[in-house]
Amino acid sequence: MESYLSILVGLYFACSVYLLLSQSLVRILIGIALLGNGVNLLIFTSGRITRGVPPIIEKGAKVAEASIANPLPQALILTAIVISFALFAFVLVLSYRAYQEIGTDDTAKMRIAEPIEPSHLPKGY
Amino acid sequence: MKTISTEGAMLQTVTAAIDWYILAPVVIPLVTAAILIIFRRSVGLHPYIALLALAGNIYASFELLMKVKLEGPLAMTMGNWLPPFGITFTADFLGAILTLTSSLAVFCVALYGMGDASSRERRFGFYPLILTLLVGVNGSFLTGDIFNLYVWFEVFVISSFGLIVLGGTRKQLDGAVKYCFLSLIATTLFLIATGYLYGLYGTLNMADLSKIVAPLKFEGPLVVVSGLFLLAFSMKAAAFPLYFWLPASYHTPKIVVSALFAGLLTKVGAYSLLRTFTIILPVAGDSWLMGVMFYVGVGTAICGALGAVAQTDLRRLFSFLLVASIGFMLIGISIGTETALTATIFYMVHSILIMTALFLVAGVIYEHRGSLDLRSLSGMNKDLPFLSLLFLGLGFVAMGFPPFSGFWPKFVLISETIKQEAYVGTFAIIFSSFLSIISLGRAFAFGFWRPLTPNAEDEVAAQAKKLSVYSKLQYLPVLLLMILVTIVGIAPGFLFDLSSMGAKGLVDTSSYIAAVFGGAS
Repeated sequence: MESYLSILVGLYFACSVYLLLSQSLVRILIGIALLGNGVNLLIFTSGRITRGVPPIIEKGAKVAEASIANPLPQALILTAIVISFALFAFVLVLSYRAYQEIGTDDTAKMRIAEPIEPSHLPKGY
Repeated sequence: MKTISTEGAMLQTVTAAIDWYILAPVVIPLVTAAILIIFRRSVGLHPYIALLALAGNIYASFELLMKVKLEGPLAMTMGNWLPPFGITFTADFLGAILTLTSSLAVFCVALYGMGDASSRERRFGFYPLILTLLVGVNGSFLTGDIFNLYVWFEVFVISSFGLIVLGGTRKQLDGAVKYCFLSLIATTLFLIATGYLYGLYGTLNMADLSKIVAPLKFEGPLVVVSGLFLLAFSMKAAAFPLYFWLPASYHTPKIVVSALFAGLLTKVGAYSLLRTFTIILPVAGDSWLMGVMFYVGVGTAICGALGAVAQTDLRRLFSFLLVASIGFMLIGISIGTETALTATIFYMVHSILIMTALFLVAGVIYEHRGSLDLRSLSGMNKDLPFLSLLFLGLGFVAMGFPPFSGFWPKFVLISETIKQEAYVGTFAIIFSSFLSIISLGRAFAFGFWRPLTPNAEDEVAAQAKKLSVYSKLQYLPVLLLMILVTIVGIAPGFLFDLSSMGAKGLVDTSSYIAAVFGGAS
């Protein structure tokens, strides 16, 4: 099971890198979303998959009777999901605003902050 | 039903109140930020509340540092769970020194913001955001858990996102797109590396990892994880060849915001590299990977300084100098001897203070001239003699002239590169410093020495009428930072002792591990 998931994670990363290398902001956004999901799956896999035993301990007991699924990756993923969701929402709105203001979503043409024409100091005064 | 003793896993008693002290530099700004959001309608109060809290925060960080000095590294675990189960907070020298320095820098920025942040910007959360940024930065310095470090990274990253778009001009949005996307990718790479690390060793506690990794060989998946950490943190620290986002974005937001970013954000990346390759993954710190980092540092130092020479915008010039300063830190970390690490920690403190001050002084110049373009700036030594003196002084600090704070760590680092026969590093540091002298000297010659250009006279007069009532007050934070770096430069012994104790704690990890696991035995 872990091997299949690892391959899936690799696919996620490959697709996301391909999209991140694009010049269009929308593609980059999708790439970031894919990357975030790939990471979540990665953490899930690296915590080892145990089928069907929820990590619930009976009332009064201090430890589980049988072996249980590792609950820690779920806590980590939950944190990561919340964070990546919030940041993704931010960059989504930011991209839209940037598109409104600059009029393009082509990163090669977004040169307001760094104009292309060279600027030199005079040789002297 | 079995009865199980929880003695090995949990504290049986309530955590002593004194142990909570280690959280103060995180909790104070966090609570204050929440209070400021409650009072979002009375933005006039914001600077006063924030400054009061930040002064308290400086005091708390100072007390923490003194406590660490007295007792060695401190640790506490959340929710009574003993390490490695609970999330640990660990204050060693490195963390405590940097916490104090960043609190000082943010205080100066908040003071500057009094005159610079309009009431509209305050309503959009200028003060709460700089406080939460400090929360994230201090949390990163103090946490003892690597996933928790990721969370603190995201705390300051999201605050910085809010700050960089504050104002929302076209230029800002363009810069923000580059900054935000690359920050997001860098932190995601960090998370990927953390995921692998967890998969390999099943723990995320830094001290626990240190114990597990120390006897291992540097091979197999550990190489991948270390490489990913190097990549992610170098991206965050703006190291060669991944620094292009920094000069593309740091000159776009409000000047006070770029001062805050320049002072703190890249240093957290450098701090994480320092932490990762000494305490968390000690074997990676002795491997060929450090050779890679060494050349990355050399490239950063030289490319940053070369970039600075080519700039005409004062803030972009400073951004490139910031990149160059990261190169020095990387060279120090990669050499990795106790002396080199001492110099690196010293240099980090110096760099936080001086970079904040340089960007703030750019703000003062902008206030008086309405421009930061060296092609049009001129004649400031005539009508602003004090400002030109201050700029010259700060320039000397940044170049590394004695008796200011930049001289000592550079001196130690250069002599250490010679001793370790890393002559490329020696060359890079000296060449980069030389280029920074050229770029700052030119900035001074054009902006201050050059007589006022004839067509600029009207503009200057018009700008002088627009000066706010706070324009005199804005000198204060710059002056404060200038005094600090001068004191550090004249009497470097105090900071040197602290830095060398910090370096000792990184080279010999036993005190760090003992602090974390001490309670367990």
